[in-house]
Amino acid sequence: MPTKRTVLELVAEGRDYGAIGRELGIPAGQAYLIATGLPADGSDVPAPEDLDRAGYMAGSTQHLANPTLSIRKSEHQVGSWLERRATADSQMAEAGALRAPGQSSSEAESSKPADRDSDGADHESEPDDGSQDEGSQDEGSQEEGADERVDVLALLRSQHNEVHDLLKELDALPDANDATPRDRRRKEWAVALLVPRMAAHEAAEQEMFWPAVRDTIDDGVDLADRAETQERRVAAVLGDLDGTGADDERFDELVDELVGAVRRHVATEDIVFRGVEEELSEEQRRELGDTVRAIQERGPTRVHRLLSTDPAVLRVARPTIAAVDRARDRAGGRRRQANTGNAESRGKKGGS
Amino acid sequence: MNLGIMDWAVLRQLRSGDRFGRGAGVKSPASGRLGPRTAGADKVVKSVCPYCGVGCAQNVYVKDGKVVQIEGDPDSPVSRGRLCPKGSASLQLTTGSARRHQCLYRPPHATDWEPIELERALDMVADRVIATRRDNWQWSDEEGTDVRRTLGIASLGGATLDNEENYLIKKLWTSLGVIQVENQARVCHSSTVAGLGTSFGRGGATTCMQDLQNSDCIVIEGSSFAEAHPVGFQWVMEAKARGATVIHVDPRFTRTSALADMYVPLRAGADIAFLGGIINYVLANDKWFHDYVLAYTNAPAIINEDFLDTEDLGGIFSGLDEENRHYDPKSWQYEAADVQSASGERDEQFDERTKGGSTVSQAGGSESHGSGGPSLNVEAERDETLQHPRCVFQILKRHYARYTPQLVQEVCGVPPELFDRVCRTITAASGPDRTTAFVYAVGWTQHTVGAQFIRAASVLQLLLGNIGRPGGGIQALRGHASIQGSTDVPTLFNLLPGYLPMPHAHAHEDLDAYVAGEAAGTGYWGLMKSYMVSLLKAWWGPAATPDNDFCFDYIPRLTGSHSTYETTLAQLDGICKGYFLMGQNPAVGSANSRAQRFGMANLEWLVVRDFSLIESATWWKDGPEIESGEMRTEDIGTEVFFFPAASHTEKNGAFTNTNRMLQWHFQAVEPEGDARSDLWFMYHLGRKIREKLAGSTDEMDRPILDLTWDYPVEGSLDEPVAEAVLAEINGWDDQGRPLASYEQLNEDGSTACGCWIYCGVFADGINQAARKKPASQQNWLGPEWAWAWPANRRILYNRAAARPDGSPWSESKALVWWDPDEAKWTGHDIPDFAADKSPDYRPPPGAEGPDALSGTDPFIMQADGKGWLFVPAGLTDGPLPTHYEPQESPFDNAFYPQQRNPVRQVFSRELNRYHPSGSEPGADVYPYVITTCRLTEHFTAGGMTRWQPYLAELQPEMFVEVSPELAAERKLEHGGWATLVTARNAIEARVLVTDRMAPLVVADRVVHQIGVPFHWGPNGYTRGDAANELTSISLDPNVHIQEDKALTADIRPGRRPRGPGRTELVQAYQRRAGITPETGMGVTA
Repeated sequence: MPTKRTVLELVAEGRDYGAIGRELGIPAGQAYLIATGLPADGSDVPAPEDLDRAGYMAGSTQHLANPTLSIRKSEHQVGSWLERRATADSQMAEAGALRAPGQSSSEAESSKPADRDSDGADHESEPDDGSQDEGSQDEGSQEEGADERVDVLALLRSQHNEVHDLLKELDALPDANDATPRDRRRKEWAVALLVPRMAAHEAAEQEMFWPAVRDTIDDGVDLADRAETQERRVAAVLGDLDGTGADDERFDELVDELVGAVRRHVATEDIVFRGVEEELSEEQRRELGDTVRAIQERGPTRVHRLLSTDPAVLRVARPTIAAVDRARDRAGGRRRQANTGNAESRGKKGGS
Repeated sequence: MNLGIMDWAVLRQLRSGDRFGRGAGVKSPASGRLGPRTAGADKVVKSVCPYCGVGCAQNVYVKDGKVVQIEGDPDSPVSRGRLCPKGSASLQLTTGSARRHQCLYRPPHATDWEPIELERALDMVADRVIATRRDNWQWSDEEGTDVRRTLGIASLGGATLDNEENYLIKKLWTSLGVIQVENQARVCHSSTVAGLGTSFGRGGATTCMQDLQNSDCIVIEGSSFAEAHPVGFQWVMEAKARGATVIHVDPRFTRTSALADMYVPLRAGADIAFLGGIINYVLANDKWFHDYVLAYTNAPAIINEDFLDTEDLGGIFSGLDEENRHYDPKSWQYEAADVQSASGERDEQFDERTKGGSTVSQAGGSESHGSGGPSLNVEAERDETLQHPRCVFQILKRHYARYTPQLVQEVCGVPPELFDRVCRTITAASGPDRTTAFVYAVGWTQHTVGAQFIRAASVLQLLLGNIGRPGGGIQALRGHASIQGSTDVPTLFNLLPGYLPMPHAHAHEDLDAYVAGEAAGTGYWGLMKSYMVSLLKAWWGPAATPDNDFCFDYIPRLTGSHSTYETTLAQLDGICKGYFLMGQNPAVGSANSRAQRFGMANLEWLVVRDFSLIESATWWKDGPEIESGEMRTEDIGTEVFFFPAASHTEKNGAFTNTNRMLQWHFQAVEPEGDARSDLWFMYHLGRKIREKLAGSTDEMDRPILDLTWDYPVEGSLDEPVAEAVLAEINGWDDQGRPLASYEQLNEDGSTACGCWIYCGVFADGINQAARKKPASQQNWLGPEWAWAWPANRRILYNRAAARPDGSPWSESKALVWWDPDEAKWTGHDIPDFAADKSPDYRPPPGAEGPDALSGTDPFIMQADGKGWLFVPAGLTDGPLPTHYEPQESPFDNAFYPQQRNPVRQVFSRELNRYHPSGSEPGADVYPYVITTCRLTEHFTAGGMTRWQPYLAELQPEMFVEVSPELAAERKLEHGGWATLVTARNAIEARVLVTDRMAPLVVADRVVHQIGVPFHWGPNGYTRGDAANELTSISLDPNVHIQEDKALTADIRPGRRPRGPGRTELVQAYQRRAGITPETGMGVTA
């Protein structure tokens, strides 16, 4: 029987226990036991401080003592079975298609059962036929009556939540390598929904909200500075993304960057909002809310990378920027989003 | 063999230099040739032990297509290679001669079995299902509400079924309109689901066993951890080695007590008095964790002004409807708010919440949901100063003020000095840098106030700030391999997968009304519709469309409770005619087993699937009633089918252990003979039924014909591919890709998912439950060993491990914290929280679902994100745990005039009589307290252990444990026989006289307790009378679990009478005690 020293010398030469066992004519597990005093099959559980010994292998040593591990893989491809089930479910495909707007209408029709497609002409204009109207989409306060006053924090927080849902959707969709055309459309769609939201949100904040924050809350200046730096970062990424298709090799990278940038920014704003909640009266917050909403309703829909953060400049520049944005939207750059207003709200609710 | 003289041992020693015979020198050539069976095996297959809920990993060694050895797998972070006596005997369980491999058939009135071909038996069963269903079909109930179901068929499963098997069982039965689908989980841990679910949001253990090593104090109560879950107990010993204090509170001194630092004997059934006493100590001495309680619990919430406490009403709460044995929980609500529970009886509020619709029955309803919380329709009023007289904190204080050490002594029999030491130890070991864990098992669950036992521990742990933190939490030790799994993928009448409630019959209930009635609008239950629609898509696929409410109407409706005990009564009443037993043995394993057998004798047909001929398969020819002459085999018309079952080594599938961890076991060998998995049985039974019904235009057959039932099969036996079922459970998107998270589920039909809480177990198309990364290569939680729900989080509510601002409470107890630079939650575990929701997030008004919870709300399944000290909705018997005496008790309730839980479920039947209690006349006829228990070497009703020679030898005979004082009082001899008598039956057992059963002084008199192990029955190698002959059907109203941990009885020396004398003895006792149909039935008595 080989001695401990013999085995350890072989270990020191860099050989593994399998080779040592073969050389010495003993099972590998036995070689391990001789070298370390520990059974390779793990039948002892020594204290961590007892493991500092020559020849010890971190991790499992079972394979030294055991016969071959057998993991019988089913010969069945579960993946393709799932795919067949999805394909066989036309309603599922249809619902999925509605979540990826921007597809060609022919594709939409091909995924629908023929008998439902009696009024093809109206298809494009009503991806959502109304039967799905949840009637509860009032969290985005833009839909509330104009005469109802709104707390600026309620407004901005709701907008964060919408943005958050879109980010989550973006995060969940597979990277370009694994993405199907439908995934890419979903990604583009989520970005298309995100851009105007961020644009309106940030523009109004820059104009009205940060000045108020600087003036009223402790650390307001620092916080506002930090938030605005983050906003510029977000705006920059959004600017890069705007017009970048999901086929673009930079797309995933930009999305990842965006998700991180927005996440940090939102966390900062969460702190700010709490400060505002403490420092401003409800009346003040409503006043601010009205102003912010007014700006947003007339505000730009696109992100402007070089947007100045000087409120005075902004106030002057805003109408022009907004007009240009609208003109560009009319020219078609934003058509897919306009088409899918209803589906959007449904996607938001269901996808959250 | 030929040994030369030089081979003699002594000479060999000298020759080899091993003079003292300490090494190889003394080994003879014969023993030198011996090797372990493992060494000669061809391969090793990874598996999981099928006994208790610890879920020890096993290596199955296979040689020439046979299993030759089973060992522990040292890589497991839970078991670390260890197996207990049962796990070590699982080789015998799976390969022993006691296993049957042939189908058997007993025609009506026949006196013996006859062999039958598997195919023919299956075909006959399919025919019977179809006929019984058709003959007993109900489109609507007496009140004309749609129910679409049959009460003619019932199914009861064991908890060693794989999740995939449970899934097919529930899916097939539901599509056939069978609602009486039940499981061992009902009689074992259903109280856990209600107790933990309403308190924290999910009905599973809040922690994992390995994390006990981080505890500073471990309180084990209602469990003999060391004996019933021996391998899990190693983590208690690890904690003890690190300096933790271990406290064992139990009526019996067991090996758990022997290893504890403190043993506290208490009277069985008095745990709420004991825990309430600790709560009172914590509140009165200001020992609660202020920052935690204020931020993370509902202590500041203000309760409805109509609420009246037990303090005001002599032990009952406001809202009691005496006539119907029912509480209207409306007055328990938050002020100005209407919350729905994450769990529990959510249907209670259907009318209220849907503004109309008629509740057909007020009983039953969804039990506690494993995963859930309340819904707040309006923001609750709160008083952050905790001074408002109607805030939860003040109500709590008043409610528990009466739970003084003196009363604890009077009720529990625990001396004040010992009680004080327990209180001091627990509170000293709780706080920002210390944590205490509670561990319990069925000693808490099996009571008429079972759910409230667990609630009491939940209240205490919340006050001490021990939930969601390392070394803290509440561990609900599950006694079976997949008890947790069989509530998650429930074969329970009141649940759909993922703790979605089964719908109750209401007029005009559609999917939206169901969601509005059952779900919280806020927290993760706010997304219930997505979970439900995805389930309907998984079951009915293309047939489920928005136009038909995704086939929501295909789900049969409940009208009250249809638990396994109501099923027994339905059998006695001739309503239930066909019965499936899938690895379950109610003839000895369910309370009042005599009633169980009479119920089965009233069936038209019975299907038993098991390893051996258990008592539930053979009662018609050799049951106790045949011996007593009450039944004659020739008179019994029940047709019985026996199908041999496959063992865990013979099939693929996953068990979910007590850590909520899904562990995959791989098939090592094919089952022999007619033995088949339950997956095979259900799939092929469903296939046959569908073939036979094909072409039917009857509306009642639409759900079964539209069901998605096209599972791929493999191998020579056409075994369904278990991974395909797992993939269905996990869910997929519109492109057929496995989903990664339940957050991806949609309510528009674009996703399908068979069990939303298991979504992610097949992420990326990989079986995550089969992951086997060795424990030594990861942290103590073992995140890459198998997969735990939800979302692979190992310690639930771990957001609470950080302060409200996101930083750890202390360095030593850091688990999950907010990283401000990355703006993300991070740490040792996966955050049980939206990873990017900052601690400063506050919801805007009107927010729904998870968005409605703030960045400081750790209990994300709850509608208000808080841990519930007070449960405003979800429990049927009160918002706060309150001490009631067991259904049968030698004592009056010293706390209140109200003796018992007023709304407990009791059933006055000839076969199910109750004893007088306390000072009622006749109570002294049954003067002793019985508590049932489990032994290390046996398992539940014995079906998996009494047939194993190793285990039978280790625990060879039924016995009862009595104190020397009781032995003297009743002239019982150690080793001799005793007979125990209740109003249900009489049993005999050997007497074990031991100091371990200490008599207690309760209410100034001595009470004797008797320990009675559960495991015996008349079949197998080791035989004896079953403990369940003594127990009654008296149930917790929340979850319909039986009270078998505390009841009264008499004990007398000698064996029980044979023949008719047995029944005569029982009846003589009943007469002496003056028992009538009204005894023990009172509501407010």
